[in-house]
Amino acid sequence: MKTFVRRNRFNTLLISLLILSIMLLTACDSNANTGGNLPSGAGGKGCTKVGVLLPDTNVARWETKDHPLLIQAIKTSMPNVQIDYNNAHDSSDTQLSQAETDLANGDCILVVTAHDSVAAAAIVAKAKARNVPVIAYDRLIQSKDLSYYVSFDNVKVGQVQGQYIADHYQKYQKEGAIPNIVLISGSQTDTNALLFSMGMHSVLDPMFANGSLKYISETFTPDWNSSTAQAEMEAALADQHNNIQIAYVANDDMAGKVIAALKTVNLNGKVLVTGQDAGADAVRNILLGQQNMTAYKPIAREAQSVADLVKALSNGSNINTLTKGITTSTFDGGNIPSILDTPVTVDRNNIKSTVLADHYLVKEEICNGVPAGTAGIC
Amino acid sequence: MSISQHAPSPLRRLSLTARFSALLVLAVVLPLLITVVGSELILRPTLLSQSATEMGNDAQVHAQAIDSLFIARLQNIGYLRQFFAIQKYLSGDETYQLQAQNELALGYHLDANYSNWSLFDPQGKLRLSYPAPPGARGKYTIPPEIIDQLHNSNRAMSSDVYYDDNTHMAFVDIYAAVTSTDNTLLGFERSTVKLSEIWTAVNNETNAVSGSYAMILDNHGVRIAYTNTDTTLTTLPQGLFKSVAPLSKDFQQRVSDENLYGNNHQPVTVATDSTLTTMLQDAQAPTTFQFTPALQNEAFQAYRVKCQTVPWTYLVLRPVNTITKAANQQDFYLLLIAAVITLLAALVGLVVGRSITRPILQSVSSLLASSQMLKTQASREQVKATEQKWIVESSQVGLKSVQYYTEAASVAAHKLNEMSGELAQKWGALDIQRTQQRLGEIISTANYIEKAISHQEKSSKSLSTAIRITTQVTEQLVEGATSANEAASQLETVIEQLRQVVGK
Repeated sequence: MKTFVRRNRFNTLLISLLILSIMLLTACDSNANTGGNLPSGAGGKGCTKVGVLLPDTNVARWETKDHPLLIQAIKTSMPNVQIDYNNAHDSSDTQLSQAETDLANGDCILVVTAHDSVAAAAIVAKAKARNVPVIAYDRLIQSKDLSYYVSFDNVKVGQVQGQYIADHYQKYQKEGAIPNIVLISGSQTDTNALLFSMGMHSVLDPMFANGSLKYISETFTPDWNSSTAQAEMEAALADQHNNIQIAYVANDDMAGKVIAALKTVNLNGKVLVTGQDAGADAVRNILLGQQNMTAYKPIAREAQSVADLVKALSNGSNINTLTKGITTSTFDGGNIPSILDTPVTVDRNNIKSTVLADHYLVKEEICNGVPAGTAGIC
Repeated sequence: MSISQHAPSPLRRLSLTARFSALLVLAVVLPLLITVVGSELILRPTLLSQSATEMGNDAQVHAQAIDSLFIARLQNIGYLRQFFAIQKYLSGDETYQLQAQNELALGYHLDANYSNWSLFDPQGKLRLSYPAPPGARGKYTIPPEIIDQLHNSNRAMSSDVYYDDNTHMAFVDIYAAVTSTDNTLLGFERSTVKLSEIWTAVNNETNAVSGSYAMILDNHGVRIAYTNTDTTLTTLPQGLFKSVAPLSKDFQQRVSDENLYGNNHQPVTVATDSTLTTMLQDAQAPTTFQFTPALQNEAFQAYRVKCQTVPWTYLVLRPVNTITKAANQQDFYLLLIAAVITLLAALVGLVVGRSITRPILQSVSSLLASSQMLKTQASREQVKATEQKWIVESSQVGLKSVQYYTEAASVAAHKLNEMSGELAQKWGALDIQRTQQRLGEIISTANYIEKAISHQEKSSKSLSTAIRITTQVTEQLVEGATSANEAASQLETVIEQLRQVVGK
């Protein structure tokens, strides 16, 4: 009897050990598939955690202007807000990963300037799954699920640039010859670049058609890389034996490098150069006569539009009062409620009344290296 | 105290060394066996699940890449059709021809996969193209079905898949209607996109896992991309442009008329696959499943993802045996380790068991010897005791004989006394005959006494001998007891040794 009891105990112990071992083995794996229950964004209502995602550091404005202005505008509108800021450093994958982190951290409204307008649709999809509204800031995200779009009227930006060329090309005409124009557009993966180009063409195409201007080439510049833009300009100069009178350049950073290319052939100040963003270097170049204009998009106004939208979403207010029924189409048939602000042309004649008056730039930033008395500013 | 008798258990039949070795083997092998069981219960399903997740990610990434590519291409044409010179040229202003061509070139250079950009009038007649006039689509410049759709929709759209015999590459056309500001149809813009990136991605699927491959099925069930195992890419993959089920007659006619899938070069045939056919027909079909695909001879795990921008399904397929290979390998190695460890444990068990049992066995031998000695001693003593018993019995018989003769001598002496007294009293009164008779009786009695004394003497001698022998036997028994005592001492020593071995 005792032997039986002892043996029974041994068997029980053995089975217990087996079960324990299997449980331990199971426990080892139990964490492998644990998916976190991410919080719902509740459509932004009552939201006090906002994720702000900007695309790169190649273009100066994102870090020097948009970043501080967005933070300031949102915090001013919603003093109790917590903002998670990220820069994607020129990588769509990084931006997606940053958005996922923001969502995991409970951010309930995302403000995104897409590094890639198409790839960023994945951010919208992930946010939608958690009922988090996404505001595309300055660049449209190609997804019908995008919640809102805040930008400048980008076709109008191109029109403003083109119109400046149309208004001033004659000054660059040499001995009755048709001025040659090189078009250096932005990144082909950025929806805006095509819109700028479209706007510019809407003004300049008739001039190409009637022979007022001679179209040399148009190139899109991957990632808006200014060094690539410089190479593009150098190639065009070499191809045309420096016979170029006008350089349509889509933004200021690229314009700065195009001017560098012109300097190497002593054409700086002799070629009409456009730009966009009203960067300090660009305005200084305008004062120095090396760049002619920049399409000034009062970023403070754009940032304020975002802040107004974020506040309205958080309060559950009517968004239509902000978008006024304006929509922007996406490729997949989406009509995204949009706030589109209007750009302003800035040249040496109105610097004081625009960028300085708006405190977008200060004298010290633009007058460094500029002869005293230039344009009555420095 | 009672000692119960049990039937020996089967285990007890084994030697202590064997049992010790077996226990050691069990102690070592049991965790490994638990691991193998765990592997079967947990690792294998986990591997399948992980693989499905991996394949899912892979398929998702590729499907998203296809979507991104087409979104970008649709976006390109969506914006390019709004370019001023293109609209003006299609509206009939020939002065915009050069700039319209520049804008077609602009579109062409937006992506390396573009092979052609063209403008058509509302009837589908070619107006302008870059870099060269495009080839026909079978019997047509633009298939009539597409012209109909473009007349009714302002959205950009993509065609079915074509195959270019010259470049050995599949392509699709993306169309968009070009309209004026007052929404009048001016014509159509078409970009032709090579599928080289997509085919490359599908071909690269072999890099994931050995034997894995991918395919893309269009909405007609035709495999429009299929992993090419020919790394030189000089031949087309076996499954390319084969449908998973017979095509409808209408669509067969379209394939022929529009030269879809390079039908004129190599007619589209059927490689029946009922699983894929069902999958295409059933929107609720699972995203991951196992089956043996057409043109394959083994079971594959498949993961499918539907593209959003084009009616295509991206399928990633991996041989099931490569997925569970890790588990199989692990099981194999665990069993191998278990076998080696079992052998080692058995050997160690034997060595250790022997070192433990050696003193026990020595003690057992000593016990056996002592037992044998005791047994011999006991049998000797038994013999001696039997002898002694016999001697005692003989002595008793001798003693009885002595007593008998003593009593007989005593009776005879008494009778002699009586006869002597009678003779003395009646001397003279007795006749001679009677006297002689009495004397004769006295002489006989005397003789009898003499004989009795003689017998007594003999019996005494026998008793003396018996006493001597008994003394000798007793000495031997004392000697035997001493030996038994010594054997008992030896047993005590052995027991002490066993206690030392057992540890009590």
